[in-house]
Amino acid sequence: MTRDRRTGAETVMGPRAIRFWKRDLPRWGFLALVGAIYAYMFLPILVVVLTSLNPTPYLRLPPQGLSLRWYAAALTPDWLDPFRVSLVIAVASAALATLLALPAAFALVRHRFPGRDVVAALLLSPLSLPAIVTGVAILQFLSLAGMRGLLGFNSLLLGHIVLTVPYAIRTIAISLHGFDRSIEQAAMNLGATPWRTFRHITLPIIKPGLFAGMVFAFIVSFNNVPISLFLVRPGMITLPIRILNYLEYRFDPSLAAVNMLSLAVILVVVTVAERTAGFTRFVYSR
Amino acid sequence: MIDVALEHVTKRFGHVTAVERLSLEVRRGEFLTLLGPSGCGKTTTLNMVAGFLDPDEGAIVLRGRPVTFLPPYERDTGMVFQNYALFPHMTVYENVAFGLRMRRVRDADVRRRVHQALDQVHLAGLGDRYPRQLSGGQQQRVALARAIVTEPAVLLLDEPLSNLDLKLREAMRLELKALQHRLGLTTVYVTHDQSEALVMSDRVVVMHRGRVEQVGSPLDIYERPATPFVADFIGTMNTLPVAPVSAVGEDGFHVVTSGGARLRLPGLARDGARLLVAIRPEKCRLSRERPAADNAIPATVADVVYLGTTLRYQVTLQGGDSLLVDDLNVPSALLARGEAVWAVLPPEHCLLLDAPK
Repeated sequence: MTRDRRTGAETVMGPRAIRFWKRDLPRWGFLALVGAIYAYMFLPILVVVLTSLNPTPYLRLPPQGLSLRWYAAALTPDWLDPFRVSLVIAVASAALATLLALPAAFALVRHRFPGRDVVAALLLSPLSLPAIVTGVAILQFLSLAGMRGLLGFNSLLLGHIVLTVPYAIRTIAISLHGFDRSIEQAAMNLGATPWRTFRHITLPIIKPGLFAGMVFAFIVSFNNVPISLFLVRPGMITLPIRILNYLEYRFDPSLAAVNMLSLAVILVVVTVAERTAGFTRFVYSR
Repeated sequence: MIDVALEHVTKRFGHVTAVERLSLEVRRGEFLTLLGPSGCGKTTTLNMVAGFLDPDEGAIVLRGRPVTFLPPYERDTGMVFQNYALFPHMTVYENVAFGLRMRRVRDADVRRRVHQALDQVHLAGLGDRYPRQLSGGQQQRVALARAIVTEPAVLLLDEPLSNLDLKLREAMRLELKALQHRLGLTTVYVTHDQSEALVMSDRVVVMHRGRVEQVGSPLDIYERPATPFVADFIGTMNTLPVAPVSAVGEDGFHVVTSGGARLRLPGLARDGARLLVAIRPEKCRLSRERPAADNAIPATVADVVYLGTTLRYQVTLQGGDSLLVDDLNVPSALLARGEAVWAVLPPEHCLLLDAPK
């Protein structure tokens, strides 16, 4: 019941009014909100896309034309070398971190042993420490241990493994938490040894968690600045560090082109992981 | 031929003894049920036979081979789990084939035996489905096919029907029993559902607090429960505390209820000051007139419960003891609440038990 504005009498809402207020307005209002959130997330990327394709050094709207000159600038050894370093480090550290995280996650989830909480806290500490502290600590450790020779590729790899192991442990631990152990018992009952049970039953079932961990590790490593900052050496620097160095002196759209290329790499990695393991099912808990 | 033997098996968890000196033999082709309330040790026993738990004492023998400390994968048992435990990433066919592949059976034989097993549980044609695409009843059949396809020495079933709805559960009881009988499978079945145990079993082992209370056919444990626990756990049982009468008559053993009513029981005198007379509600009778029969006690109808096929009267005996009496639901039998009646406890249906300490 509503009150008529002119007469002040109570009136019943007509069917059209009900449809508007109770159905159409909430529905379109919700869609508008979702649209706004997507715009907030994707408009900055759109700006980068436009900048990278714009012929002039400064973005003007509407665009002055279409040009690939900044991509040509991005595809020179100046950028490609750090790009390759970042890619190799990200792939290697994601793979090694996952390999290390697998037994760690099993131990933490499935066994109760003295000092378990301490071990868990230690393994996950890089998540809570500012990465820059970890970076400085690794550098100081290498100096004190007289292993400055490791700076460059080896130190980057070690540092990034420390950085990414917690992500892999987290996602693998989550997939192990929901694991029904009677499925493994069933396999052993049917004659599978512990190894074959792990290989044919446990591993395929936790695969989405494994791949999710690997993808997170890859992205975290690929984008990392604060740890890499301390561990690079001339001739062996990662892409984010190269971008940072470049920005100190100038700003031009070749940076936008470089960003587009690294975005493409991450999209490829995510797509491959999704195709092989359906890991979004894991991330959004199906 | 004994397929499964447990010899004085004991299992403790910390200070709790889950199974205490349990000895048991399962004959070839026999359907044996471990029946008891939760925590009675029945599932622990099953897990020890399967090899998921090691006993602290005693021995387990499968088809003459001691397997006490062998891992599960070196024993020849087929288990159906309460939640089915199907492999979610494998199709129905692959689930059933798994045990054969682990035994390195040739591909052609795998195919033949898997299809045969799926036929036996009426799942032919569903081999390509994944477990999540099946109903609860179908998943349970897959679990069954997976367990029998390897032709194990013993089939172990851990409350396999408890997750199904009532109608399906009752249908599956008969189907499972028929399959077991047709294939001659030696079976150990764990349940807390007494009607399941009575319907399906050749022999029932009633367990309580890690010990065996009674072993017998369904008829034995229903008609002649050996202990007050079995009497109470299986079906409904009236128990009346009684004391022996010093003078024993020619016609049997006489006891007197706490309310002062005298009862004649068949058989010999028993010692013990604390005895119980047990009788099933359907074995008692009520009548308006004083009957000529033995063991008639004056009583009052306290309550009538309508159960469909039967009526259940709760009567208060002279002296205050309460007694349940079942009668067929026919109009002429109907008694009203508050009515004065005679309750008859026929001597041949009265059991004498030692009262629990």
